[in-house]
Amino acid sequence: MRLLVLVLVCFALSEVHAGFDDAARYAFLSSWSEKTVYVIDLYDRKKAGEIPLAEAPNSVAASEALKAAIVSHRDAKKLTLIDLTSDDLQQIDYPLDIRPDQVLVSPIGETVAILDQSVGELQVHALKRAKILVSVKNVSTASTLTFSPDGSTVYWVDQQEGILHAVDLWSERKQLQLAREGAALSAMSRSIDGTLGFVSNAENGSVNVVNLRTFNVLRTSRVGNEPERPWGTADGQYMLVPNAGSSTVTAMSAATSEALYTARAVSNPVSINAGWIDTIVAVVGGDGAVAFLSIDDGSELARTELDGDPEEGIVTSDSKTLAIPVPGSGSIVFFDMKARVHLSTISGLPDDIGPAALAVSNNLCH
Amino acid sequence: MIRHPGQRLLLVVLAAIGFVGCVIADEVIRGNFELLDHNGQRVTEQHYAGKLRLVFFGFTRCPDVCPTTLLEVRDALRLLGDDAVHVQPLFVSVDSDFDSSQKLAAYVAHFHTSLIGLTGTAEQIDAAAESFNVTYGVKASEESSSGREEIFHTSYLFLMDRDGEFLDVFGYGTKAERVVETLRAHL
Repeated sequence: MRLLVLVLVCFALSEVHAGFDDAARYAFLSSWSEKTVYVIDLYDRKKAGEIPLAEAPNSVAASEALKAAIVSHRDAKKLTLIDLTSDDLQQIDYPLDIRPDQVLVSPIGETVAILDQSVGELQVHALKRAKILVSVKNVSTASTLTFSPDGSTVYWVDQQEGILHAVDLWSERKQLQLAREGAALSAMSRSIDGTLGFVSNAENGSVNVVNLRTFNVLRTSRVGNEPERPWGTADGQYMLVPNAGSSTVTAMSAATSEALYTARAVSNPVSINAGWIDTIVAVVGGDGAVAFLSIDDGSELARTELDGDPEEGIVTSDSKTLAIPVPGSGSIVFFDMKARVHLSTISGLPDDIGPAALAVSNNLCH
Repeated sequence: MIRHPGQRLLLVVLAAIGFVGCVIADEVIRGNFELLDHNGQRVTEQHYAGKLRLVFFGFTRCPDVCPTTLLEVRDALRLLGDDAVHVQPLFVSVDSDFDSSQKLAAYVAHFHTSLIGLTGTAEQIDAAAESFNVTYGVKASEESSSGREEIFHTSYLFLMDRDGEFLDVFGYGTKAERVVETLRAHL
């Protein structure tokens, strides 16, 4: 363990040189079948490298603070940390005592939340110190995890019990009953400043807005049919709620929590990505449709179809380019967010590539 | 409170002229301002006519994003060499209560001799932010999740042309080499 800590500290202190540590430039995707992490150059829109792994990866995340890619291996109960600053892309094992079903890098980049769904345990690790900071049991029906902006609190929704939970790094816990048992709640999304939480309730077509300091419901807003997890815009102004039941998107003001408009979008939305200096939003549908909407009023600017079922899209930190992995066709498709047109496609990737991970993904400093 | 002073006004203006439809960034970013520089002199975008401008909104107490971005601006100017005289870097403070001209002068000196700090009244900063489609806000300590006062702001670095018109934008984390590549295309 001491050796692991030493190596991790060296990671953080190592001099930056040629590698894939340009956080704005490179995205990472993993393939189980090829036991490989693929590095994508978002500027030149080409495959920049392949990082072979000893074991098959389940997912990959990126940390700007550690200048590392963090690969999860569920069955092996471990993470692989890849030093993106080193020419040889040094890899070290980070052993776990739980299976990493979900791995979420905190906004400060030095801690990760890890959820083992099968045994129902959540752990928060300080990677540089190789230390478990928090461990919570009985969370087997936890939704996707969310960090507070300073990384001090992890939120999740117990989708079976209808309860919003929080735990901080001092193991203080809070909970709030939002819906009856069995109600179809989404995971929580927070406002960019961390003061408000937004949880969709598919059963009654509403979004609960929660004051995350007091843990009280401030407001319940009606949205469309069967709303799913809201997506925040990078400038913090809007929460965009995909309504799976009506193939629409409802825009809510992050400041007032009011529903502003509901616009026609796509069916089975998998991601909502804001871009081009926070004026355009791309709604990516699970059946391959992509709708570009004005963030202002929801009017449709363009619509296109992908050649297959996509993963979540990502937008570059300059807000100009949307990249959407399409696993079935082994490709990543790029769009110009300003012109809402197809730019290029990287082909020849495995047909099981996962979502793309970026270390820098929003443009609000706080 | 999240401030985005331009949006409501803009919508009112667009409605008044009968415009229906989307508002796209390059139509929104006008790049106008009337502020005080770190020497206490009143300046507008016209003051820097003839030079490309790199414009960043932030605050001197910012722990990471602002200094990181300004270091990339410094490195970009160094990489430009003699051509750096054609580029005017500007740092607009969104923290007018704390960032006096004197504090800004001391702060920008850490980064580059040509970097100019700009401040003004809350209304002047609101107007400048609106003109760049920049969002910013101040959250009092009792309102914030961390228990500390928090200031947040859009972290784009804007490139404006010699007349002050919008040319391009860089996202947070963009390296100096990338900025220089774009600047050289416009020199």
